[in-house]
This record gives sequence, C-alpha cells and structure tokens, in this order.
Amino acid sequence: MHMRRVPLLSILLAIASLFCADPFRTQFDAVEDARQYKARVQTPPGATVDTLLVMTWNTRYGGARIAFFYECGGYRYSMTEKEATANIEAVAKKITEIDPDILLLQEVDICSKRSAYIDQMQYLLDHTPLNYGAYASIWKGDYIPSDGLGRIDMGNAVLSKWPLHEATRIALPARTDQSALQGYFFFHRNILKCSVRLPGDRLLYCLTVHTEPWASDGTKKKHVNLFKDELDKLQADGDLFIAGGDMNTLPPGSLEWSHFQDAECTDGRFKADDYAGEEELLSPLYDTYAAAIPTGVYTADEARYHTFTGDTAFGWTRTLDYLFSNGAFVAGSGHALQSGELPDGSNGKPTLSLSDHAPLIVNMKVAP
Amino acid sequence: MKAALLAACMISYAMADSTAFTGVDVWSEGTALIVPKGRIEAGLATPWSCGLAHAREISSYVLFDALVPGLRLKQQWYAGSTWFIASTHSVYSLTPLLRFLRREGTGGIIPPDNAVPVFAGSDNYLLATWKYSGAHRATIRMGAKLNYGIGDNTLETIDYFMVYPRIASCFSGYSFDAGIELRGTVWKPVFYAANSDLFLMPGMNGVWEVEQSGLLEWRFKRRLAVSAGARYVAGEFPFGFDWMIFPMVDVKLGFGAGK
Repeated sequence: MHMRRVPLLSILLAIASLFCADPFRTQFDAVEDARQYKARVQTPPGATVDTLLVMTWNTRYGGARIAFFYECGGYRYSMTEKEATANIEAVAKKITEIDPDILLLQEVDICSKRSAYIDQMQYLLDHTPLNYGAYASIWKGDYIPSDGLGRIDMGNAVLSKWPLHEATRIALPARTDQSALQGYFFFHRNILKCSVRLPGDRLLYCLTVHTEPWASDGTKKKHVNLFKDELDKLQADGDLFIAGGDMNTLPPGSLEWSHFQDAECTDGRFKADDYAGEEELLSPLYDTYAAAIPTGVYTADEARYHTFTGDTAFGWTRTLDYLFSNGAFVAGSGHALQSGELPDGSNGKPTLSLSDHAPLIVNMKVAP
Repeated sequence: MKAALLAACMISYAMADSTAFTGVDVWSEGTALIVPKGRIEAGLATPWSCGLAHAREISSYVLFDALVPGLRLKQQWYAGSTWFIASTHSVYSLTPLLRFLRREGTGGIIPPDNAVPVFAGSDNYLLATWKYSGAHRATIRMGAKLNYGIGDNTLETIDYFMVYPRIASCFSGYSFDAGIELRGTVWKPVFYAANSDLFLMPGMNGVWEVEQSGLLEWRFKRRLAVSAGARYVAGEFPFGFDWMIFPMVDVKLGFGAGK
C-alpha cells in the first residue's frame, strides 16, 4: 500500500469506526467455527480404509500462472470469468487425477472479484471425488480499497471423502509491522482444524496453515510455533492427525536460503524470498513428528522435492509445502508432483502451469 | 459550481414576484415541495439546494462538484392543499469521480488498468407528495438514470452497497428506481423520516437493491438541521445476495428565510 495515501484513508476509517467496529467485515474471533461445505452429488468413499492418500496444495486462488500486479512483471488485476473458470476446472481435473482422500488447500477463493466470484470450495467438491469441506478465511473484506481489488474472500481449506465431525478456525497473530489501516484490510491468518470421521468411526484431525511470508517482525516464527502447539495438544490427547500446508519457509538442511533465481527481479510489490535466519525454524516439527519428506530424503535430492517457483522459466526452485503426522507414513510415498506424474506412476496434466506451488502427496497409515 | 448556484439564486430572487407560494417548505429535499425562493440549504450528505422563482429549485452536490460535476432542477407542476407533484431533472458526469477512484495501491477503488470513458448522465424523477394529518407527509418517487459513455470502456463494476446501483447505468445505459418516504414531526423540533427505495438494474449481474432507512432530525429553527439514523441495504450483486446496516448522519445549513 502506498504510505502517502494512508492518512486520508485512516481518517475516513476512523469516522466509520465510530459507528461500526468492523464496517468492511474483515475481522474474526480468536476461535470460531469454520465454514462447512458438502458436494452437491456425493461420491461414495470406500467402506474400509487402511491407508489414506493425503495431499496439500496451494492453488493460488485459481490464478494459474497469470502475472498479477504484485508480482515481478505483473500487470493483471483480476481474471475474466472465462479464465477463472478454466483455471479452477484445470485444478479440479488435476485433483481428480491424483484422487486424494484428504486434501489440504491454501489460497482458495470463495467470493473474490479477482476470481470472478466463483466459490472454488463448492466447485472443487462438485467436480472431484471429494465430498466434504471446511473453509477458514485468511483475507476477507466487503471491499478492499487497494488496486481495485474489491471484494475478497480467500482462505485455507480441508476437503475429505468422509464427513467432517467438526471444523474450527483458530486465529493466528497479525503482523505488527503494519499500520492499523493496513492491518485492518490485510491478511488474518489462521489454522484450520477439522476432524474427519473415517470408516470404523475413527477420528482423524486435519490441520492446515499458510504462514506469514512478508513480515519483518517475526510473525512467521510465531505462526510456525503456534501451529506446532496445536499439534502438540492433539498428541498429548492421543489424537491422530495429519497437518501441513504452505509454511513459507525451507526445510532444515536446505543448501540455499536466499537469492533464488526466480526472485531476483526488483519490481514485485512484496519481497518474501530471503529465508536466511530460518534454518532451524521447522526443526521442532521435524524432530517431533513424521514428515512426508523426511530430512534425509530431502537433503539427498532437494530439487526432487521443490514445490514452489515464482517464475516457470526456472522450474521449481524451493520447498515451501509440508505434511506432518503423529501417525506413520508409508515409506517412500511422499512426492512433490512437479510434472504430470501420478501416484500410480502414470502421467497426467503437468502442474507447473496450474499454480505457483506443486502438490505434495503422501500415503498415511490409518489401519486400526 | 457553487458560484453558479449562488448566482442563479440571486437572479431568481431579484426577478421573483412577491406572491407567496404554498408548495414550498424548508428542508424539503426528497419531496415534491420546493425550497422557499431565495433560500439556500446546504448539507454534507445531501445536495445544496436553492429555491428559485416559478416553483423551481436548483441543486447540486457542491462539495463533490469537482468529482461529479452536475446540476439538478426541480420543477413543481402542481401544488394543491394536500397534494404536490414535481419532477427533477439532472445532468452530470461520473467520469472525474471514476477516474479519481482508478488508482494503484491504497485508495484504488477501481483497478488502474480500467479504461474509463467520458460519461454523460441524466437522472429524471417524478415526485408526488401528500400532506396528511397536518404535520406528516408522504412522498413517492420513481424515475430512471441514463448514462452514455464515449471512448474506450473497460470499466469494472464497483460491487458495493449503494454504489453499485448508482453507477449501474454506466454499464447498462439505464436503470430504474422508485421509493416512498414518510416525514413528519415527532415533537418539535424533532422530526422523523423513513424511506424505502427499490433500484432495478436490468442487464446487470445483480439486478436489484433495496434501501430502507429511518432517521431523526433535530431542526434548530430554519438555520440548522442535524440528522442521524440507520440504513438497511440489501440486494443482489454480481457475487450474490448480501445485506448491511449503515449509520447515517448529516448536518444541513439553511441560509435566507426565503419567500
């Protein structure tokens, strides 16, 4: 946001706030129910299950590889309805190809002008074998008065073949390096915590998070630590969980922590690609829980597990997406789906054109 | 624009005959009554109005004329003992406002890549006011907004309460709206006003909006009126149905007793 216009808007916002505490409906409670969804037509899941295919994917609000205004060389502000529909259709087809049992998503739009107001949660449930979903907004506002963004509702999601027992949005602390005005209209990150009722009446907790990438005040570290705290509580209660998402930091043992080729341009609105100082940020998670891509596997061939690139010309350049569990994963089943490969070894649609993140999958053992 | 309004008032006052006219009243915005000749009423959220001769009133949103230049003429056609009929006709252009709102970064209501054409707009309404029970009156209003744009147009809608229906004609060329308003005395100097308005936007992705408001107004003689209340807005927008309640405040000043 341009600072020189902040005072005028601050005054206007203050006047509005005298009468209405949340005039643009951008705020959330510390803990509140997540929004639950159901596919219009159910696809019957298996009656028994020994292993689950779990996937996490930041789908970039169906923006595919369109260069948006906040990115290097970006000039687009919103998608046409045709683009938005084609992009989310391609995401749905990819999900159907992979056919996960549990899907954790980040950057899902449900009512945003930039994605033609398509409810991507409902779309994905109606166009994949997944039946139930929960959604927790990260960025929401009746009108975001910046760059003509307008109405926004983007968030984290969990989709499942089996019914959700409960779904909770747990607020994460906001950045402290922004003005009150910027903070009011900016992201309100959260942990989405759901429990899925598996066959045999077993509960599996599913948690997803998208941590703060841009803050200079240590907010990302707080988010990672609070995420682990939630996992620790479940562990202490003896509950089984799968947890993950876009952590916006690199795995311990990574060779490079800054100066990525795809982030060397200078005209982007945000700078989020220097991870120096975060070398041990995820170590507590790796040390405590099973990772879909264990550290040893990752460090043996880093490039194979990269899940992000800001520029397709350079291919996938780093790993930002993770899956952890206090259960057990099938050894060697963790994959970053960087091209068109599918869990069964066949080929499907390449992922590089679908989002700036690649899907991460793993098989999780859930036999009683 | 403010100077033109004042000049029109002064000329009208000088040319006016001395016959008292019954179809006038102070603080009569939104009714078929006319501001008394020679009197100026200025509001923060309502137009600045000036009573002219021959049952006419001219008004403009003076504070916003740099962004929405325009004028409105109200002509009273009939003034009976209880019924009054008038029409309003305005010409304006939304182009300066829309271009002002089109910007990069904070304050950007419209994306900076939108091409905003030169718009010429005209609103035309018929108003009928019925005075009943002495201190109370009801007004019905119906009319249309027309807009025509010249030049490249890639303008996107502003999908927000109250704004969306008011600029819908920039996209579809026309829109309709109608409303009913009740006003009266609670106990002097406190007055009430209750409105219900329906906006219809054929050809748009969201085709209707309803606005209902209620407010109390404190009138300090003929010089000052302060009003406060709330407005309920509900409608169908490009993203679907939504509703919201907004606070309403206004401060109005009256200059000149008028005739």
